[in-house]
Amino acid sequence: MSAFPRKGDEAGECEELAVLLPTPHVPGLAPDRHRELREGIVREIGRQLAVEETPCARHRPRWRRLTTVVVPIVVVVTTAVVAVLVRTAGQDTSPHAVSVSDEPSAVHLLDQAAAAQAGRPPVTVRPDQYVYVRHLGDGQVLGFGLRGFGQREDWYAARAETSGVIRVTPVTRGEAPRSRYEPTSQSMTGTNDAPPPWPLTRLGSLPTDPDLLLSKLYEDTGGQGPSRDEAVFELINEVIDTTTLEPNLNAALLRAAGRLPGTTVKEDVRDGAGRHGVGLTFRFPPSSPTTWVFDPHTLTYLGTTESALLEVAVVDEKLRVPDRSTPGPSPGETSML
Amino acid sequence: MEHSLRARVRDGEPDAFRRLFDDHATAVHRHALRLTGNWATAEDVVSLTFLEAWRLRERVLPDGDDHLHPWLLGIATNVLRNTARAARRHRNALARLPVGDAVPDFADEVAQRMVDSEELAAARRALAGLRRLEREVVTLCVWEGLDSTTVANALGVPVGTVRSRLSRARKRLRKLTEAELRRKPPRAVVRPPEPRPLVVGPCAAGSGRGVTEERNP
Repeated sequence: MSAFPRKGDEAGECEELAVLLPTPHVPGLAPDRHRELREGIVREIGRQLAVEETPCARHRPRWRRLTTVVVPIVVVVTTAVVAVLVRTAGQDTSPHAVSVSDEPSAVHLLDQAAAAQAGRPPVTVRPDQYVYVRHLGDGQVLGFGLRGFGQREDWYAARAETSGVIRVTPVTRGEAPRSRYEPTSQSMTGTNDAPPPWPLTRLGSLPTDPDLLLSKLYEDTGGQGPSRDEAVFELINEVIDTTTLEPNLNAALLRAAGRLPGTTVKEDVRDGAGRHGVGLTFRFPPSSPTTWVFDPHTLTYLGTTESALLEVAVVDEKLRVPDRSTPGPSPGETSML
Repeated sequence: MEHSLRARVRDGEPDAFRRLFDDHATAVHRHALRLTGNWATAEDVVSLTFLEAWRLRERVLPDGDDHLHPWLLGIATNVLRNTARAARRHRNALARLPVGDAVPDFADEVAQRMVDSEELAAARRALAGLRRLEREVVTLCVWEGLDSTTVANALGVPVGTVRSRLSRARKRLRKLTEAELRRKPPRAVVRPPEPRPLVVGPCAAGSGRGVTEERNP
């Protein structure tokens, strides 16, 4: 009765599969909710059509307007911070790369953040281990049904075919940030079948030359995103957390991010947990640009303005939380105490 | 009728998307719910699929004779593959959509958002025994009733690839079932030897260090 009839062997294969894997019945969307979501989507389409039809919206993107105002203030601030606190080694950015970006101070900030990472010892991940990543921030951004404000913990299996685990815990916004929020009766745990984009046991084999890495990023994301640059940014934004285990790769990634056009520095921003830092705003996604936050003293990556990265570590089992003594980077951990 | 709807979707007519939603949101939601077991995530996947469909509307061929159902399930598959990425892409739009059940308490809200079904839990345990790419083609072919050519078009991969993934999935599931049968009396439900934690409900305070397989009362 299917609208898409099958033939021959395929039909036999599907019949056997249907026995091996019976179709589970699930409840449908309630009619009221269906209508609500439908009208919400149609309103959104109307809104986007209106934006597309506004002539000035196309001529002068928001990031460019911001640049004019923010840059003069920011160049002074970041240069001062950077000059005092970070060694100036590792400035191997090619002239070609600098010319690609519209914003030299952003390239400079990323380059210095990269220099602070480069040369630190890598943390190796065995195939039987998990990488633990902890975020605090806006529930909608953290996902998995979390609303409001909360903590998200991820255990990514080093073995790509093994599922990872996610645990979300709602947290009261505004109370003094703690080093860790223990799971409560309101916590929720579930599987994550999507493996991290780059195999965790092979981070060490990826290129640490920013230009080679950027070529790989463009190659890996070909045809995926709304635009070539946005697709590359999306991938960088996803791997920036776990690559802190491999500092040379992380440094190359930061420098590669500096090659993306239209990136600007913001003098003083707060990350998703409320920590102050130096911000770096990308043009993506255009409807709501992402801002990375760096520690103003160490230039450690702290996360984004919506989601703070609190911990990245290697653990032996899922749902195991790293000890304080666990080696490996824990960005911003001390400032949370 | 379908032909003119395709052309109108391609032209970005809001009414065409209203119709598209009415015709296919149920199927997209059902697919997402079976794969995630989580109400909130499944609703987000529905919204994100239609927002992505809007973004990708120009890729719909005006004169194609196939249905839009597989196109949407292809988009839903990509959204499910990386829901976080799609959510970041449409962050503002998602935030403007009406929130579901207005339950003030987080725990109640979560409890209501979990699908509590042994049948679904068993199916997801079986799926966990497959690789991700196999899982994608199996659910589209077996649960959604699409043939391999349609799945190939929807996912943008060669038909041969879909067929070989189906064949590998069948062998793997058969092996898992036989291994299970050797250990236990026959059962209607396929269970891989090492079940993984499924989406579970709220875990009781203090139980966070162990894997919670079932929802606590």
